[in-house]
Amino acid sequence: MKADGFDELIHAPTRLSIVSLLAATEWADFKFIRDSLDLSDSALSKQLAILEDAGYLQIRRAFVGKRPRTSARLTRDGRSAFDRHVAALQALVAPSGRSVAKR
Amino acid sequence: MSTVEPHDAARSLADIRQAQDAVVAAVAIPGWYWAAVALMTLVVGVAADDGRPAVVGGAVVSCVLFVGAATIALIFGLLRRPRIHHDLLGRDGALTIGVFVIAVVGSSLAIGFGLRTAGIGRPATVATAVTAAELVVGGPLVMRRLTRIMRSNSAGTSE
Repeated sequence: MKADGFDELIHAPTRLSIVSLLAATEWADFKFIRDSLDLSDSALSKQLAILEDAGYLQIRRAFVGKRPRTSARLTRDGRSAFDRHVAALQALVAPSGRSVAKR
Repeated sequence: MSTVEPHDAARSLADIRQAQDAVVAAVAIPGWYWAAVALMTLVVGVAADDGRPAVVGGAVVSCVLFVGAATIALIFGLLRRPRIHHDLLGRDGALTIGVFVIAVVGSSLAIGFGLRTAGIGRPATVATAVTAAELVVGGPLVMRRLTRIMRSNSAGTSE
């Protein structure tokens, strides 16, 4: 079963967690995402690159002193796609009688 | 194309909430900050009632340094954490913060000036003691309410 707005790219578990986390933030630091989701540097970099290529993500690379600092945020398209995906998931759950209403 | 069953969708929504809860937990102001600000507020109040310039000056400088250091430590901690999206806090969150600030500052001024007008001794000490209590008790309560608001505004929880 699929609902309108369901996004295959976002739905992959690791990417879903990354996008969910970023949807709650303006910008999030690479380390914060990595540590929050318990991912390796390479796994996170790979998923960020996929999301960036899809236009869902903007990545900012800066230096704080001599240390590189990478941050990411959802683009407007990414945020819209995520909102539609959440709505699609809720539509899938609703017929089964499970509540997804506010806690 | 694979299909997604309702129980898979429900699990995905739970994963979304879990990821967003990590953000909400990360931006919470720690309890020690409220206690630090409360303590220094009280120190300034006691010094103000003492009235000696050296005591008042010393208290104000200590307060600025101590609260400044605590705030810098807090901000540095928060800088390593994400900046939350404004949708998460929403109007209720902004209103909660505004009401708390107005209540704390307003009650402190009202009590302080009220006691002084009534000629009751040590008005600044009493006023700042009340403010300190409001910060220590109210700060974490406000933070708890903000956490609840942010969680209820998280994706996957709205209808």
